Amino acid sequence: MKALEFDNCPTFEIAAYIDGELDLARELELETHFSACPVCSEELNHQKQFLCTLNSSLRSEDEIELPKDFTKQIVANAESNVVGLRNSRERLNAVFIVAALALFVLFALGGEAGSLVAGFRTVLDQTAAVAGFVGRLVYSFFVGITVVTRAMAAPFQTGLMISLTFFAFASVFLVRVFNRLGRN
Amino acid sequence: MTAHAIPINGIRSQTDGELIVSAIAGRSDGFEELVRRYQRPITGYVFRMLGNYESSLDVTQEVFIKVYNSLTKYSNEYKFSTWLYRIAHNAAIDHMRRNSMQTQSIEVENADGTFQLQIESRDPSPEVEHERGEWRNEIDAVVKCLPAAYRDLIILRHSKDLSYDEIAEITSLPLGTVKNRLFRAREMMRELFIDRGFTGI
Repeated sequence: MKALEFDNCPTFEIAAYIDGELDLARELELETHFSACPVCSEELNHQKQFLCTLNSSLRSEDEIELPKDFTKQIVANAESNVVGLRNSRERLNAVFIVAALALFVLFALGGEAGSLVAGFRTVLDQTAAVAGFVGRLVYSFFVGITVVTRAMAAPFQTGLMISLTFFAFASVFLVRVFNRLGRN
Repeated sequence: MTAHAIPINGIRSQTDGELIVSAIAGRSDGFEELVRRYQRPITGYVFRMLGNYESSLDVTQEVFIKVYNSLTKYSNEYKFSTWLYRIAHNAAIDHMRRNSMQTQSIEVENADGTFQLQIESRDPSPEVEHERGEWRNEIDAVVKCLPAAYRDLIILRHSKDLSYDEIAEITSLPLGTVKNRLFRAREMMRELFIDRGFTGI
């Protein structure tokens, strides 16, 4: 009977016992076991001693040397790196200020502003012309493709429809089958 | 805007929660005090994980910048320190992955959930009486030899004095795994000490 008890030694829980991380009932069970089992009570003593050494050696490491002004450096870096703390109001303010500055520049330029605006307009006109050309190009390209596909598909339109429907059904069925397999 | 009236020694006595609130309100001395409180423990933790002083300073900076940018996402269902260690834990693991040439792999887990030693400990030293300071060096050396997954838990438990629950929260591991790994880590440390010629451990 004793031998059986030793086979079930709670060796792996001794560490948690010393750390005070077991619930009360389990703690009591272990204590009863320790008083009966010399192997475990020796193990307990060893581990206790080991943990004492470990704690006393590791716990004083906050003596780590930090560079001078490390705190200031971190704060400065964090503040210049802001992503989350800016609120939308601040952003709106920024947009406002930029718009006001642009207006101010226009006013300051006075008479010169007219030619500046005119220059702007030619640039805008040219951009619009290029955009229109590109748009028309893309449009005619797609029209061409449609015409060619229609011409090719005309002779076997019904056949194509049938095979497309079949393909769609087959893929839905396969997806279902795979899903079921995956779940099992 | 009564917050402006708080004197310097007042900020020292504020709780982490109060400091977070004032940092979110845009007062940089709130955040500064948080950094001052936690920079040493965090640098110490990261240093033990990485074993490189310069990188541990860089990673600590990274951690606090991340903290600053996500302060609004902090929820007080965790302790602030737990949240902070969690960010530091992830940053340290990321750093190790990025520089996996220098450090041992942190991924090699055996089928039974244990980890293997990847750095050989040095030759057994002759049996001599060890002073306390020497003990500390020995323990540092042994901690360095541990696989990162074990080292992490040993540091959080024995250097930072955190509970199993907090460690589980920080590392995103189940509680049972924390318990089990801590046990195995200590076993491994004892074996390493015996390898080095220390008996009576």
